[in-house]
Amino acid sequence: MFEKLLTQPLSEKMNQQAPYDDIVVSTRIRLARNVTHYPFSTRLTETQAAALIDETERQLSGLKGFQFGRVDQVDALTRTALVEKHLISPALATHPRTGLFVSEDEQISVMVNEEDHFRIQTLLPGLQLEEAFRVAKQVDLLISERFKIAFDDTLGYLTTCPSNVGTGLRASVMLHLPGLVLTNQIQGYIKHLRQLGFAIRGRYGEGSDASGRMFQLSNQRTLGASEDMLITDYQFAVEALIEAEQAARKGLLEMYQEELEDRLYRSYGILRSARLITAREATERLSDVRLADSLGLAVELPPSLFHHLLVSLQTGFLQKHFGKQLTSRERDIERATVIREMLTEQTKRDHTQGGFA
Amino acid sequence: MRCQRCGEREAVVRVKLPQDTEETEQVLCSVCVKEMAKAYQETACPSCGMTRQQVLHLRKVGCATCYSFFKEEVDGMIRQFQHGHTKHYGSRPEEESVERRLSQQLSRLKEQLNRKILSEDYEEAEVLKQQILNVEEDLRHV
Repeated sequence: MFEKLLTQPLSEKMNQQAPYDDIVVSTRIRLARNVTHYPFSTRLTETQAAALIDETERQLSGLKGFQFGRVDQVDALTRTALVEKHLISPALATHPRTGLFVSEDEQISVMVNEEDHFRIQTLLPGLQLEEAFRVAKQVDLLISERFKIAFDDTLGYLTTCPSNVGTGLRASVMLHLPGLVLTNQIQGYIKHLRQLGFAIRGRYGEGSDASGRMFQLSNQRTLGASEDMLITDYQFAVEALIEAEQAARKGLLEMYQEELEDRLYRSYGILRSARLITAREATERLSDVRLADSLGLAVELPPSLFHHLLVSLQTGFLQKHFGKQLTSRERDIERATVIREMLTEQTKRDHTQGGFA
Repeated sequence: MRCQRCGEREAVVRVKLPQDTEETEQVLCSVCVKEMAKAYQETACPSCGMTRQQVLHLRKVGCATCYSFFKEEVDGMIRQFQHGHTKHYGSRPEEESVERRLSQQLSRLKEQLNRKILSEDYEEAEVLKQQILNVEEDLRHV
């Protein structure tokens, strides 16, 4: 079933226009849930883990529009590509005995045997926190009708790590913040947001750097407020970042128009002509071109194509696309080719649609 | 002063004991204090076998029972992770989905309808029939 998921880097849903997609690439809501009749992942034996997967498959197989697959039974390349598409977490890709339920539109997935028994996750383009939570909650209700969920009157949903206890809700949005990076303001915002109880880090979660100027902002606290309140607080933080980014972009254009345009057009030139390009350079140049487009310069890289390329240029996805392991040199060649083709196609599309859409 | 545990060696420390033991304080020798500390660290959750040491080291628990069995340790972690918050105000698992609520309502109505028909109360039955159609219509939308 995973092959079908990996034919395209973005699902149809993710390709649609969405609120604030100029800055917010995607919204994710995750709910952590455990059942009472098995120990948590830290004490779960492989036999128990396998039993839980079987039980889940039986109980949830009736869900309309969902497919199930064993993540531990597919090859490493497929698992990497699933991570790159954000359908599963990096942790799920490495655990033994894991499963994945995913809806046909790929909007919602349920990871089985991650750090918690169930991780319900919704992924939407742009900034759509309330909608993402609404969808996740529906699946949560269906699961709690079929399983007895570990819950405490005072502490709420019980999770393997007490950092998720209570609502088990983690919201995270991926933001493209070239303005704040180029004006050197990002570190200040990172520090400030941390003090306010939000985590902000590079694109692929903990430990990764902020290449391509992509950042992931998430809430740290999951206890002491209702889901709606947590989301409202979080939305405030995201909106503050969006405003700051908009102001930084405007400021850059006012103060350094020539320098900025020069840099962005150069990046476009490189992407249109390069024959070898590393993932790191590609994401940075693409970030430049996306910024150029959003500032109204004469290049075209709509948010959905930007996101599409970000996913398809990742090591795993690229190799999945070619159906084999590639050396790093081969990858650089293929990457450059994919970018050239996609950008050329985009220019053609613009001409047939009469230029600037 | 002699150690209150072994009664042989000289006591060197005064130790505050965990809340669930009878005495609150004891004076102990260096051997006994190490033994007691080790036993305390290795106390395991009766439900999943996770030890206190593992909980503190991993900062994770092994099952739902750990939350009450290692309450002191886990509460400390929660305060830290959750910025001082200790109480849940969010949703609960026993809340019903719309689907479940409607289908339960439907079976209730059908039962009532049967009873009305048996008692030949056709006017009431007609009302119930209409209600059933409405709920069935709603069910198609969830």
